[in-house]
Amino acid sequence: MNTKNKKIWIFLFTIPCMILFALVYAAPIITVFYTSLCDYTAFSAPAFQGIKNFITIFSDSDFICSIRNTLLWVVLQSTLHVGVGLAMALVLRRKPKGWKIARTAYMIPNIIPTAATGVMFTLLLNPMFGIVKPVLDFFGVNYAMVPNLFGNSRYAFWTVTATWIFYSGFNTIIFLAEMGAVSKEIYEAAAIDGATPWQADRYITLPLMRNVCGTCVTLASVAMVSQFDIIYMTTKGGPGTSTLNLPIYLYKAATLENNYGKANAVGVVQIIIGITLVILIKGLFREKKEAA
Amino acid sequence: MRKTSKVKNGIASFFKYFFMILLIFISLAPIVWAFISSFKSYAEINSSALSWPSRFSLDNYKAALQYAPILKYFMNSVIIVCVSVLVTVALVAMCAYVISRFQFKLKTLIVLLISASLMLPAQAISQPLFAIFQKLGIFDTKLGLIIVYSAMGIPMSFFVMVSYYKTISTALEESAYIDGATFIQTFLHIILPLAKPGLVTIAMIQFINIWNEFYFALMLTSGDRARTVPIALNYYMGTFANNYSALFAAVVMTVLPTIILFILLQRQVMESLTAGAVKG
Repeated sequence: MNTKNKKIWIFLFTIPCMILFALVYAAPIITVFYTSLCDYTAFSAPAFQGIKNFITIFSDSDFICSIRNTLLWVVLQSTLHVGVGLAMALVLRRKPKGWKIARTAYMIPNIIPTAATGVMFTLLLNPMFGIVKPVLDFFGVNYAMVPNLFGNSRYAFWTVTATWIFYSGFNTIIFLAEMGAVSKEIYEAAAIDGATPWQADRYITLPLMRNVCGTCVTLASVAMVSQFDIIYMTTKGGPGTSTLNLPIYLYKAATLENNYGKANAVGVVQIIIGITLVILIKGLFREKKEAA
Repeated sequence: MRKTSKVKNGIASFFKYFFMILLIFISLAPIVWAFISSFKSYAEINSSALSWPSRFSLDNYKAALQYAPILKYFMNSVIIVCVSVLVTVALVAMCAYVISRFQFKLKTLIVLLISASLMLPAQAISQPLFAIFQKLGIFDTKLGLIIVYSAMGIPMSFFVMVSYYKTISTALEESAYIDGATFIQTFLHIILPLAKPGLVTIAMIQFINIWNEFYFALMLTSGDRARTVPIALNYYMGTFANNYSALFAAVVMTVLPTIILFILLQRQVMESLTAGAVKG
């Protein structure tokens, strides 16, 4: 194959992908950054105005609240959520009876549409016909009124969190795949040396999980920076600002206020937070790897 | 000594099973509960959350199908998902092949751009997309969603495919070229058949992600023409505010096909998702 031919083929093979990429990613990203500096609404074309949108959002207490909630969810998800997934993988690794069924069952909440999860929990926790009342009765808890878990700002944040935090089947299968790659001989040698199963996990399995742990934490964090579906289906960010996060704030700015400049300023902040988190997590897990 | 370790083992395995069963329970209970409740009458749902339906009635399903064109949404979803899976797989199969095999000027730039978009929070670019699509006249069309979804599948599929191509030895291609095969012949008849498992992997990742996608479907549609299944649920939430017995049926109808497909294809789905996470 001659060089000129090769060049043509390289061009022909990459260009369709690149055109689509430019249309859906490149053009919008440039637009987001530019129009975040513009006075731009549904009724007026973008007009440059400097950083006014950023001043507006950073002086809005709702926005600060949405950042706080987003980051709190990132922290919870990268610790508790990934941790539950890892714990389940450690249990399933030994292939106890029914482990395959357990793995499949645990994956199901991660496979169904998140919007459906939102609807299901809305129904499940409905104060009128949901399970809250029978559960409280069962445990003999006194109540004047059945609490509305999604509708009360005291409970809403934790109720929404509960709809995803324990559903870590995706992480479990990633950990299981990585654990399967560890050679059996190491464990046999450890057992001969008198290591208990717990010690084998603590000193052999867990240290080998660092890399993949970094992957899981990164994915969990990115997912939380763009978590939208379940919140939208259950609380829409309320009551008040108790479950407001960046994507919901952005969505409201774009669709309810029709303030596109503001929405895109939020988008810029969201992108920066996302990138910062990815770099931080990468650094965190790389450092540990060198130390080990 | 031996006795205490036996007791310890007993406790450990008790906790192990307890943990396992607990996670299975919280995973399945809401779905099973919704499934059982979907057969109850409105009055039964209101009177007790944990009772068995007095008779298995399909009234809720009839009502759900009557109030909203859920079959239309299903067809929309099937068309949009299938076309965008095909487009992503075709484009990525080509692009990733060239990237994995050849050195050229813009290669680093392409890889850099794609990896940067891998971690991009998608909502951030939704308003510009909305504006662009309105200008192009593809807002609220299946074509619009197909374009967005095909593109959104590129980053992860790209890295899965690049690393898959790297596992295929170049010896076969070289001998094909020596035998006088052209580039396109080599790609179609030698590389693609070998790359099939990789292509199946990205198709599955793409299928699951797009079938469940909610945000862009919400942002980029406004009528029944292009609404997908997840958006149908949003619509139901509004419509059935007072007739939630039909809502149970609607949620079961959207969840059940996914679960059945997953159980049938679970080994491949799990392998695909793992590959996507680790290589992507």
